[in-house]
Amino acid sequence: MAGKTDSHTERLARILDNLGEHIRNAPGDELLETAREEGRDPAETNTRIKSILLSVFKSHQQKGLVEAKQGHQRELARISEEHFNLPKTAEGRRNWFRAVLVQAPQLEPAFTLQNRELSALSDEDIETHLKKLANLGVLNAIRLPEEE
Amino acid sequence: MKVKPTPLPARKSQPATRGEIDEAIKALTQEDTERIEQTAMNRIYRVRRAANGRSHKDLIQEAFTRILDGTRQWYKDRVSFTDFLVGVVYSIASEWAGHRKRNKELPEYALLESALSKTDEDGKTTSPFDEVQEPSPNAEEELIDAEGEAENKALVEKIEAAFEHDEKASILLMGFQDGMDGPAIRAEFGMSEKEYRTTMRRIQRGVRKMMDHGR
Repeated sequence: MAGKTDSHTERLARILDNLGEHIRNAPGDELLETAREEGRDPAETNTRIKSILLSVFKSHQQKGLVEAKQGHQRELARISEEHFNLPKTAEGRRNWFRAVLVQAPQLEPAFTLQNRELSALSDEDIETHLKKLANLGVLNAIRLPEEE
Repeated sequence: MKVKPTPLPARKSQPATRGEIDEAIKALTQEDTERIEQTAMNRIYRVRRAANGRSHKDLIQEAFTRILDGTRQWYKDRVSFTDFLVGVVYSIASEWAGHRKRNKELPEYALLESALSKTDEDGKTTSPFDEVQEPSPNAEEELIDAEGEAENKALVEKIEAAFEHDEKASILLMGFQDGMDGPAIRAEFGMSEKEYRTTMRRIQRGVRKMMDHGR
């Protein structure tokens, strides 16, 4: 039956492709039987395959978290290196921040949710927030008090 | 007058979320994992050298990684997770085979010269490359092709010999080599579905033994 002109590479490929189709479409219980006939334990295969998939899943999730964290750190570093003309005193910066929240009250939840009380924000937090706001261009749209 | 109810707009299907993928893995049955395992092994045998040392486990990992990174998106309302993963396994194996076909001359695909060299009774080692004067890439490719063909010829003959006393298996093996598929062979030789599947399982076992032994 086999064509004389076909290479053995093609013939072997056809045998394996038909076996592959059989595996894709065979009823599940027959696949279990095949495994047992080959001396393999389907329960062990189940545990092993799930553990391979779950470990890929976990490492992919961790990779995503690490990348997000690195991105956040890079952003913070960039903002802290950038030059902003903020008030020189902590009190002056606090007044600016207060002005932002009065004129753009919709922003308040973003800061108070994390810190509960506005008064609990440290001078450092205020400075970081102001830099972020400046970076986003928010400060340009706010009437800021003069530094005393 | 009856008012025809306006049909609700069909919801556009969405790719599965991470949570849904996680649930799908945990819900895999033994039948599912056997299908994944046996398919991945079959594809590794199929691509052979193109796998370049990678195992069926690597193939499964690579397929799943592509699902997670969004290169391949699983729509759970269209296909089961197992069937989708099996499809990705097929596509990656084809990709590996295609890469090898385009890059046969790369050292990672070529057989080591030492594996092709022969030592005669006098202890003199000759390499098949000795006869080739400054081989052009085509000549080198031809040599690699010829070597692969010889290896596959030996394998096909080994498989045929293993089933020479099994009439049904021989019919299937010859039919496949001739380009026929299962339904065509069954129709031509009056083989029942059950006979076909039982015979395929015998062939699968035999081929696996030979392929594992030959690696």
